[in-house]
Amino acid sequence: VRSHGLAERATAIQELVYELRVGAVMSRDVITVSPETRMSDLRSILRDRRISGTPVMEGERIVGIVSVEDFINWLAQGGIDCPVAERMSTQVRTIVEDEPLVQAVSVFDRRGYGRLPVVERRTGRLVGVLTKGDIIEGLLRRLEVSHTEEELRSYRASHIFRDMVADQIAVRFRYGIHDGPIEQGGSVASGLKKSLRRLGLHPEIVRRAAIATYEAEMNVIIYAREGTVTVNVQPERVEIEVADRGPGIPDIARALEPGYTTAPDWVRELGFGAGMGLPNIQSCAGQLDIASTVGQGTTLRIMIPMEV
Amino acid sequence: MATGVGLKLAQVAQILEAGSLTGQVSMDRMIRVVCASDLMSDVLCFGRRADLLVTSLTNAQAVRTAEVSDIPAICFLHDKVPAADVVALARETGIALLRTPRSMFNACAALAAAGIEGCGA
Repeated sequence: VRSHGLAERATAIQELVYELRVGAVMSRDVITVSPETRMSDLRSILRDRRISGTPVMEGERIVGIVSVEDFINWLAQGGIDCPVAERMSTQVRTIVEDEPLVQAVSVFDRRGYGRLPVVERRTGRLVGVLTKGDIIEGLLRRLEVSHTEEELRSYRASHIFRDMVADQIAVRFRYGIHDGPIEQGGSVASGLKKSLRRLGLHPEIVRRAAIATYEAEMNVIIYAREGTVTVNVQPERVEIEVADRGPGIPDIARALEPGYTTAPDWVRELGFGAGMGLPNIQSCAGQLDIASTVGQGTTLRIMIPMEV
Repeated sequence: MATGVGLKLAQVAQILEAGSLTGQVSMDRMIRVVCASDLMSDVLCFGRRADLLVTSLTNAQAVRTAEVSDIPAICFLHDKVPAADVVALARETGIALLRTPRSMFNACAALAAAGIEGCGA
């Protein structure tokens, strides 16, 4: 069981800053002005677009950058109308689209800029603008995904295995697969998935257990109509037993061959029945035991070790 | 972790000229790896987790398969519209649904050209 403290979150941000490219978080919808734009018009441009600065473009070429600060200085010095060209900064530091964010962070840090025009490496063409706000927003968006997973880990009913004192601990779930509309296929796997996540198992283990159960559940629905799923969760493994009183499997070795199938056509319309069921279960499981008697039924025992 | 930066789901929708069947939720989600198949067992057996399932199968099993394999979004091909209960199941399980007029081949070609990776060999 992993704990996700501040330190780990900080490490995740550091990794992201190296992993993410400028192009992934910059604003692409760039507002620009021309050198001839009047300073008196700049105010409404900045205000209406809610931006704090803009590149000054002569055709495709960046000739300067003008910010709210330049505007305030201009006002302070009397606000006599003139073209932007006379008030803009002409020393424009740009950043290339495919550079890692860490590069941009260090430029902001050293130079105190508010924004960086982003250019394409090959052509030098302006493709976006990057602000500190864009960086923060981009990082938060990427952290959101891992955060959901983290939340699930903290919402376990939990530390259950760590906190209980006993020589042996197991949590048991039991589900019935009922004869009913085929659309219900997968509802057991779905319920099991939610339960295992709440127990705080690693997402990859939950995924394997859900996939194996889903395939087994579809097999029961297709061939036997009804059955039971019993899941035993122990600290070192998840055991899933799927039992039915269906027709049984005449040749288990063949049934395990990828692509071998005896499924009727209507099953194919559901996206199953292509002979991948048992092989799929096998690839999710550390161990798969099949006990089957023709005319009496089939019991699958799927063992998934906790190691990822 | 995938190497490509990927695209937002909204950008993927734009590339595929796809409309959303589940509103604007999750349209900001990053899509890096796509799984494309009409065989749900094939989807289930791809080892790598995908961010989007591209399929022409529009029944509840497509949504269940996505749910079970941690795939947060599905794009249906040939402008196929799933039944209302399938959309409801997707909403309930938090899976975004799109539909595109494109064929499997053309949808995949467009996604590959945009730098999206596939799962499986």
